[in-house]
Amino acid sequence: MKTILFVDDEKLIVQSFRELLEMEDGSNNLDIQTFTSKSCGKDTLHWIEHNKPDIAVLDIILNGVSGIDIANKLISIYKKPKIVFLTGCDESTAMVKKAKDMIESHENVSYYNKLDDNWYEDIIEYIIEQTR
Amino acid sequence: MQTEDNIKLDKRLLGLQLKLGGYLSNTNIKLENVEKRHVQLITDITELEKRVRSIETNLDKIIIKSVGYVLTIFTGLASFVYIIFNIIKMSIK
Repeated sequence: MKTILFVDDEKLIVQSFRELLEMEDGSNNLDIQTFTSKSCGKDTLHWIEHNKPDIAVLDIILNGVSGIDIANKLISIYKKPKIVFLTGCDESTAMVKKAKDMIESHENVSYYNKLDDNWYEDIIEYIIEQTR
Repeated sequence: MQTEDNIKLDKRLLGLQLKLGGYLSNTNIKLENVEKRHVQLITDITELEKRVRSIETNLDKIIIKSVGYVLTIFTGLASFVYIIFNIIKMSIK
């Protein structure tokens, strides 16, 4: 069983992504852990202390704790974690720049913009490919 | 048992929801807030409809009362004129 962590403060995205991933996967081999509440950043930080996700899909801008903070903690606890950053913000935003810097300095870290066409298809394809 | 067409349709719908979620992220609008506002607007509209209906009912009552008053005044006036007319008629005789 592979664990996928998905963190986004937009409920619609989390619910839809989970359903689509389950439909596309079909193997029932994925344990999808999602966080979407107002305190999702904090909750995720607590969760990763005791659980290792095989792939973490993180929205960059969250309420309070950011996706970058979660990624930093994942990197500090686990060896080369697979992280996918997500954002709906402009690429010139400071947080997005930080995420891009992280991609350059760490392996297995990628980035998708929610305004790009079919961003979710690319992430689902990546998850299925990596968890097979 | 879902047909292949239904599954395709579901996937398309989920994809559209994800695209919508992406655009909402960019505009910083929370769908939850939009839904709350929508519910609030429906409540406000229902309340306004109730008030309009209440005003209409009151207006109907006022119109009926006014017609009643007008009829009473006319009847009174007619009776008064009739009495005066009869008094004048009698005094002439």
